[in-house]
Amino acid sequence: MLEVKGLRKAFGPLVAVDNISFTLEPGDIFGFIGSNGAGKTTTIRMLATLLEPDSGTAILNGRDIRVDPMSVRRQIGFMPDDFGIYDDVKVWEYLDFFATVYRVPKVERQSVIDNVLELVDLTAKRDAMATSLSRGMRQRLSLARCLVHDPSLLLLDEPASGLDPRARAELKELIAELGRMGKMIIVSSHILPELADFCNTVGIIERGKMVTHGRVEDIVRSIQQTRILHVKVIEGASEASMFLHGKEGVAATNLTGSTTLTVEFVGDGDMQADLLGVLVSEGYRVIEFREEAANLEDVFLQVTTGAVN
Amino acid sequence: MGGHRQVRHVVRDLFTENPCLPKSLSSFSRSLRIGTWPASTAIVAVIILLVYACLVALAVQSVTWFEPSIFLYGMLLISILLVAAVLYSGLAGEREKKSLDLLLVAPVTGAQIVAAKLTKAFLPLVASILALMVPAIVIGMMRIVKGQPAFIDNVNFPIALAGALGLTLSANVLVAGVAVYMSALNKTMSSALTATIGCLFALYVVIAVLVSAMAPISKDLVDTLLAYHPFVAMSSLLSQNARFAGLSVGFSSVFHIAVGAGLLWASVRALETERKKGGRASA
Repeated sequence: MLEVKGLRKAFGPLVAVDNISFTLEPGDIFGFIGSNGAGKTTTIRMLATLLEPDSGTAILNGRDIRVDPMSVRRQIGFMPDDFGIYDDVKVWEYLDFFATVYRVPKVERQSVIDNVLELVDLTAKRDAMATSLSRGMRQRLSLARCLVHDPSLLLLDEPASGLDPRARAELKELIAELGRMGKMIIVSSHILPELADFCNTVGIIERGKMVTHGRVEDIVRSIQQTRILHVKVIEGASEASMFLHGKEGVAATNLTGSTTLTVEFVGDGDMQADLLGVLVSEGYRVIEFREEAANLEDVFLQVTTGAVN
Repeated sequence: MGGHRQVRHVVRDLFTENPCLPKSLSSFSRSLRIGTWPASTAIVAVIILLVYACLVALAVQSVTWFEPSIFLYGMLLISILLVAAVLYSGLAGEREKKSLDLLLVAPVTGAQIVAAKLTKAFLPLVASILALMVPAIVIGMMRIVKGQPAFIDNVNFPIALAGALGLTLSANVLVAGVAVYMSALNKTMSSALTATIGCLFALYVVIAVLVSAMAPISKDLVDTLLAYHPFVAMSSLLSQNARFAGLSVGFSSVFHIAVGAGLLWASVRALETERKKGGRASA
């Protein structure tokens, strides 16, 4: 478990991070969203013990980053926005060096390296020189390096920057898989679609302050009062639209096709279920009834002013 | 006993159980694989080796008038250049490649990182000492066999060799300290190289010239002030009439070891400060 409590860092008169607090549980993937210069990297570097906070602290599995940074370092995998790959080593040698630095027992090192290479799909490149890898592969190698000591917290600073769409998609899938493995992951980015797909919690930071944070759905609901429901029926979409108009929680309906409509809805999950029940009991043959996915971009634009430090 | 245990603990922490060492050691072995060298580097290395072999052969042939001093001066000069050349890039190179953060975020101390960097200088230092000490010993022995003193100035041969070795090792402690400290302070390898060369030039050339300029005032004062200089100390050691040979070698060695150790400690502090303040790596 990670508890971040009132982290603050100033560089002279510039307050880069101001009283940031949040909590992560195992398996949480926390998207750290903010414009360039908002304070994401400074926060991540403080959590990585690479920068001492002026005040506040973070406690990772009972270890305080300010009191016992050496223990915290053993539990952290940090991937900066630069890869930091040595130019004179093979892929396995690179991982072997960091496994040694993190004191992975010698007898386990080979199997650990094989496992992380398999996880990041670089087994075929085991004996290639690290510098011969493409940017996407280097990114995966960098992630493999973070994993050699089996950390409980991964700090990924702009991990998808500069990657092509395929490499980006592969990286997203990999991070989601690591979340399923129970790791706490903090991913910073200013590219919102990058995070929306796989983060279950997000924090939006602006000028060093956390504007909002929590579960994606909760944030979206707190900001967007109405939800958009997509409804598809086999026939009679216009009748269904008229039928739904005025029902409890329905703010408006829009016909989007001969068999599809959208409903602007104010209410919780139970009320949605009731609405679906009413539709079906009225004889409409519903083949799709879903809530539109949370739109992080809209939320971000709504809660931030665009100001930077 | 307590002190002995403490020394063992430090040695274990910095060397025998230092997890940063494998990278240094593997880069040693890799640098020795000629296959990875550019062809031009290999050709230059072969030419240097041939010239060296010819010089040694010529010296051995000429033992009646040739003496070992030149090799001992050469040992001091070449080892200093090699150690500086190997070490200036250590931390600045990590910073330039953006890999220093990866070490600073790992559970290793600044002292372990610096110690690992120092091991890179071990091989060049030993190689330069062997390459120049061995011919010096051979030539000295041959002169003795031919009934001549090992040195023209009839200096005690074993003492001169031991003194020269001591001066070389102590001078390299300071050079290592300067190179590593400059590497710790600079963001790029080129600026670290410039700073290292500048410091060594100031220490061994500029200060020596300035002090020598005081000769008209007092020659004894100049001799005393220049005693720190390893080449002056070597000169005292290898000349029969030197008044300050022992003092000069002792002072020079202590000066170099003390300043070198101080700079290495400052390098460790600089790394630890960088870890806390986010310093140069987060530029």
